[in-house]
Amino acid sequence: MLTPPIPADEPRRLQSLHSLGVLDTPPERRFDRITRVATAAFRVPIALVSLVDHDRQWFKSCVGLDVTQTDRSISFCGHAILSDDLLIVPDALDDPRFADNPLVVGEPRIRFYAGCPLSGPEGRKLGTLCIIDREPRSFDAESVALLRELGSWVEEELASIGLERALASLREQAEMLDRASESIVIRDLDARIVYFNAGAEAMYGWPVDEALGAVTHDLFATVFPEPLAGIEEALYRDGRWDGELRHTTRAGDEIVVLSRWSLQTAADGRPKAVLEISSDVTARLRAEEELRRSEELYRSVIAAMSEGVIVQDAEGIVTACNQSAERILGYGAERLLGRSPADPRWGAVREDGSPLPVEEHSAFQTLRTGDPVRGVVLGVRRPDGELRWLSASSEPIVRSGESRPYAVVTSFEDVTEQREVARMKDEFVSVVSHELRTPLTSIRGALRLLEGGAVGDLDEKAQRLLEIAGSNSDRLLRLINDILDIERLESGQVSVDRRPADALELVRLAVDAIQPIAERAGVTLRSDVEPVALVVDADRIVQTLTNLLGNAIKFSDPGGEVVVEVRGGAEGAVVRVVDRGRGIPAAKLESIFDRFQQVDASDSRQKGGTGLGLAICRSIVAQHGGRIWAESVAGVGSTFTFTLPAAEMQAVTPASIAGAGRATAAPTVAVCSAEPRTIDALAPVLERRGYRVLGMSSIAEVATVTATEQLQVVLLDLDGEGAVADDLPAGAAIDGVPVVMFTRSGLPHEGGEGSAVVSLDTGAVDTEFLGDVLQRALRAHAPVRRVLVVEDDPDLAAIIVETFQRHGVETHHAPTTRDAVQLSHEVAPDLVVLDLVLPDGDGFWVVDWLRRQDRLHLVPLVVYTAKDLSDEERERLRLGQTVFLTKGRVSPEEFERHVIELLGHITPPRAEAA
Amino acid sequence: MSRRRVLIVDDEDDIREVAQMSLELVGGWEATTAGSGDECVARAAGDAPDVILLDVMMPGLSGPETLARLRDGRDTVGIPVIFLTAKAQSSETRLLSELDVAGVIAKPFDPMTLHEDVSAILGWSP
Repeated sequence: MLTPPIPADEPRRLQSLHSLGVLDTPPERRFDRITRVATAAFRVPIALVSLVDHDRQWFKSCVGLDVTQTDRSISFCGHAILSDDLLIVPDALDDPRFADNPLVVGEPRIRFYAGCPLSGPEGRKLGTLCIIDREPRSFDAESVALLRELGSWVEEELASIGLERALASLREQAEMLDRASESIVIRDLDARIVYFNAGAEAMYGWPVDEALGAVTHDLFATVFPEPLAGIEEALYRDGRWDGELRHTTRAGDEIVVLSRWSLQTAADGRPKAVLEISSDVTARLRAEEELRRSEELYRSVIAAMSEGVIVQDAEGIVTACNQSAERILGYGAERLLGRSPADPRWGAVREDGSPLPVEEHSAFQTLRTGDPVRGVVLGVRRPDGELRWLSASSEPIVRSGESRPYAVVTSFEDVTEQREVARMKDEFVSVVSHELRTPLTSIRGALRLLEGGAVGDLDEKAQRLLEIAGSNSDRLLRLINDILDIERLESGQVSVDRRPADALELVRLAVDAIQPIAERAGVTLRSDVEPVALVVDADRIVQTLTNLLGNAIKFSDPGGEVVVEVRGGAEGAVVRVVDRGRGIPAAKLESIFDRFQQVDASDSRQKGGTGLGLAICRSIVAQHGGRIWAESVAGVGSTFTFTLPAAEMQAVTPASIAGAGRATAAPTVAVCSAEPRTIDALAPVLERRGYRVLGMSSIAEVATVTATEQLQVVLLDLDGEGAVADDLPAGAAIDGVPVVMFTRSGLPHEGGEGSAVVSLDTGAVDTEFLGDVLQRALRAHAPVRRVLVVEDDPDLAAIIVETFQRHGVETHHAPTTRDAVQLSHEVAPDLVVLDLVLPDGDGFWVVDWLRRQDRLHLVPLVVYTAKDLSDEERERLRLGQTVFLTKGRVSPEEFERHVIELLGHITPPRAEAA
Repeated sequence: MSRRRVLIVDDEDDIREVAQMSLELVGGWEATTAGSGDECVARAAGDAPDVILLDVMMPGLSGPETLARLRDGRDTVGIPVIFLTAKAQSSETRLLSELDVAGVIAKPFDPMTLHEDVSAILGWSP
């Protein structure tokens, strides 16, 4: 048996067969009637329309067989499609190609076969129309012609299937064109419309039947971007043209379309029609135009701004800038663009003149944190080397949904002139201050000397005149101070120095300061204060309170009462100063806070005010972000209220309120005076300096107390009735407790060297002076003190050592932790001053070591470091009485005062001292 | 102990006189005066006072310049100096106190307590 060979054009033949889409479709009458005609005409039992597929033959029509397909390898038709001629097999058993074919030796036992090859629309042989008999037969020429005729009939039917399919596909395409939102118009060469899709109907408004036959350019009132002749020339030359056209719709709206024209040609290449596909871009153009206009607006706004504006990308490279930026920086855009602010050519400096690190640039801060940064002041060099000062603010630019900025906009203004003006004003204030104070120094000095009796006694009238001159020179000085104060406050040159403070402490300071004035005026001061933790400039708030209290006292009658009241809330603190004075007319409640606006013009003379106190108060409160106002009922009294907003409500511990920290065990001072008022005047001053105060009325009482109380010093009043100190020699001690004797007479006492008699004005106690006196007394009676200074900076160490030596303290210096340990061991210091950063280790280690030593684990410690310590670190460093002082925050004087005070408080146990 | 010896330096005659009277009459000290920085330097070397009260703003040598001269001098290097200043701004006072001085006293000073102020700064017993 011979397997049918594969034709040379097999791939194309199969493609042609499959594209007909007829395989595996149901039987159709148009083919079945041909096979029925064939069986009848040739009197054969079997007739087939067989299509030869890749590895089978499939029967589109079949008479006399039960199967619909057989293998191609055993097929007769596979042979028949190899030639244009009919394949005639008169007796299969005689043909070596088929003699042992299973279809011959088995069912359907083929003996005769005649097959006419069938050509598809493209001329490929797709299969056969064949007739089969189970008997051998001869096949004459007439039969051949008939079978060929029937074969042609099948071919025609196959062709019509192809046409139908092409038609269906065209119909689909047409529907797609219609569904397209673009307008698709086909016009002939005279511009008459021959096709108008649904998109065109929608776009222009004409129904297809009205549009067909109309001249496109007339119908749409087309406005061409160039003469039509030129467009057509391009169309005929290139076969296509595209451009923007203006059309008018049926409703009269003008639209802009983007139109693409292509020339359709006939088979002979001659143009026959023009396809115009257009899309409506009116809305898009309008949006673009709006965008362009708004961009133009922003661009001109930014260009017109007097502030410089630069835009930088995520790396900090300048990508855009405005003209002001060029003007201020002195560089053209071409030199700014692409430059980074990190560029060393800027020579950027901080306000103090030190080089500005790149990460402090506002733009870089914003890029790093994603947050806006405002008011960074920096100096930059212009190309000519001139330094200009800028105040810069940066805003991040972030894409929605992202957190990191992809760019940053920095706006800046040139504040060079402003700084110069501020500097000149500062200088002016300084000069005025000096020039006015200098003559006052002489005037007040001379008056005070006369008044104080330094050059002899004066008669009453002269004394009175001196008082007048003295009080007016005081007033002039207050006026100068207030004017300078308010100038600086209102020019914003004085920044408030906010630190944690407690309302109780602030009110106490103010009350202490004003108490003598209240007493002279016969006015009672009462305070009703809740302990509110504040973060404020303590000096300024005390100044405000003192001013308000002073006013309240001035306008109170003798026997009256002034109340200061503090209430805390979520919002912060509310402070009230209430008097029962004559009141303020409603019309003046606002204006009294203005400069020189007293209720009564004569007040300044009668009451000694400067007319600036309330203006200063208002400035201070405003700088703290608070508000101040007055309420009053005539004849009943006035209430001045100010608020202090809660700063970050940080936990304020008593230790941080005390600032430098206070010795834990307060040394006890006995104040001994026959005058209870003297004790009342001194007690608050001493308590504020960290002493515990015991009031005594006689030396006998002191002597009894020393048995039970550990007194550190006795303050003894030499004046008063029944002078308590009559029987005590100057410079003595009571039971080993040093005694400081004082006199209220204001005159220096006759006293030999070493006598501890001081002059105290109990009406206005000089706190500093009293503190010094007590410390000297304590030191004089204490054994030699030894201080160990652990500090690696030789200059600083020398200063500290000198400070101690000036106070008569034995001082040892350790520049390393090793030396610190060695010296601690050898000298057993009474106090250690400790720097934390040392060349061979840190101060924490030294503290750990000291803590393990029996003799030293409670040694008082002053931690003097440049480091800001956390609460945890402070806890780790605590030994005995421990004070933390920050280098740079604490002036040398403050350092000295704190340390000497601490040293004064240290009293060795009595047993050891003895 | 012998009487404290003070040199007062100020270009204002009146202030010199008031300060001198204050320290002599009230403090019981011995006070001499100089009207300029140059005079101060010359006088200090010879007199070797216990302390110099030095005005800050003076024509010719200013206070800080005078201070520098004193510190350069072999005989004057160790004499404690206290500035007297009418400059009231705390920033100025702070700057002054950072120089090599024992302290700063603000003008107008109180002549009745000037000697105590000086003593307190220097740790002298009153």
